[in-house]
Amino acid sequence: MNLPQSPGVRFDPRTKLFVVLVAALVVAFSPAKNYQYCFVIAVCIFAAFCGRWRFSAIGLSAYALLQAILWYATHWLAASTLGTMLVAGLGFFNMIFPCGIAAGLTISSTRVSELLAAAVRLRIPGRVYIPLAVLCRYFPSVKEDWRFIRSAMKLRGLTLSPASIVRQPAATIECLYVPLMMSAAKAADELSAAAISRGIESPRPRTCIIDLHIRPADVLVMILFGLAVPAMFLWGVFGL
Amino acid sequence: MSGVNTSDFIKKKGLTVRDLVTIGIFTAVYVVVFLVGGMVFAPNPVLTFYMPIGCALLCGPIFLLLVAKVPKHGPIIILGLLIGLLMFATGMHWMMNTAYIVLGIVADLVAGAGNFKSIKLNILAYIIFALPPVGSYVMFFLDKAVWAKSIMAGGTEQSYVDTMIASGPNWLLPVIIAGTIVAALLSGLLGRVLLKKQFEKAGITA
Repeated sequence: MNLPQSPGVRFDPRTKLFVVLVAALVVAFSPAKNYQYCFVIAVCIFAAFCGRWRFSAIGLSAYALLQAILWYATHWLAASTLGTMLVAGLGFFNMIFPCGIAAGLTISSTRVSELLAAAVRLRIPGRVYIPLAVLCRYFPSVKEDWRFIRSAMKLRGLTLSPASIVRQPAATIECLYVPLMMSAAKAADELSAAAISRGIESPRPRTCIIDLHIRPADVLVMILFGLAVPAMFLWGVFGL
Repeated sequence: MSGVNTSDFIKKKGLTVRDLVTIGIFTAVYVVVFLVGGMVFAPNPVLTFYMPIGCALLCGPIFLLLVAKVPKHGPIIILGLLIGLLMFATGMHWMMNTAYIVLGIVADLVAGAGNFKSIKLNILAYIIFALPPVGSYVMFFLDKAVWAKSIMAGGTEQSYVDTMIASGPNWLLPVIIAGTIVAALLSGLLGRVLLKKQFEKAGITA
């Protein structure tokens, strides 16, 4: 995957993974809504420093919009069915938003080769990082396959609507799973051939053309986000 | 290049690069199908309880084809580990993520008992592997007050929690577990049919 050179600071992938880790802890143990607001804003500021201005702006506006709708739905539509549905549906996304934005930033601003180099430095075994890299690489292809499969199904008069599934369950299932899994099996052969011809089986340690270093900026970011964890528990105890 | 110790670093457990790539790709497909099954239910406080059933119903054929393609110890463990990591990175409940890692190992041992060739044991392994999403609801039913407090602090609205508690009486937990097992069994049987009818004929199983 080729990413355009961004004008911001190039942070080490390990730093970004650390931010994702903190985000997961925040979602699991967040003491208060205000704390979560601060955290999401902090991640957006970090994204801006990474040079992902658009990502930062879109993330922040999406979060603000989400909060606005939630606030409106809780205070003005409280008793109505629409209000409950809105709050319930969006509440789930609100809950996992900090993680989503941190993970999204990491994936969109890191090359796969960079991530692999970081995995090697972190001493993650090949049995884990090779499937993980393939997984990240293959996600967009599944989405694409899904689109093609749906249009192919349409050609045969099948859709994914409940009515169609009830009418022709066997045909729907076959037309969905068979191509999806056939193309997965074929892609597995092709990708592994590509990986082997690029020397993935070489016994020598993996090298990477991108220079990976924990720089002062990385240390600073890790300290700041690291502090978010004790802050979370203090916030919970003193109930700000 | 010395041809002797090539790929030593991953061959220790008998998994080749090809196996690892296959695991990665099938994990991607598994996760996408899992999300399709889950996203219909998870954001809704009344339907959220049936999320494990929806997921269990869809993923069986993928699980069975992965085991058929890589009939060794390892794939199921790595599948569980990767899904656990991914769910962790997207902020899902920790109980579900840990359960994926633990039950992945259990499922691997169950399927391994039949050398990964016994379709019955493989389906049993899938049933075990379909259970982790129930994990987060186990925590809910253990202590609803603690659960409500923790997820409300996490930014979930009061009304979501109220609706969830109102639509989740205690007898629901065994129903969810039983439902998940039945759905996984059906999905496994469907996978068996697909394997026999399509994939073995096409020669894409190992």
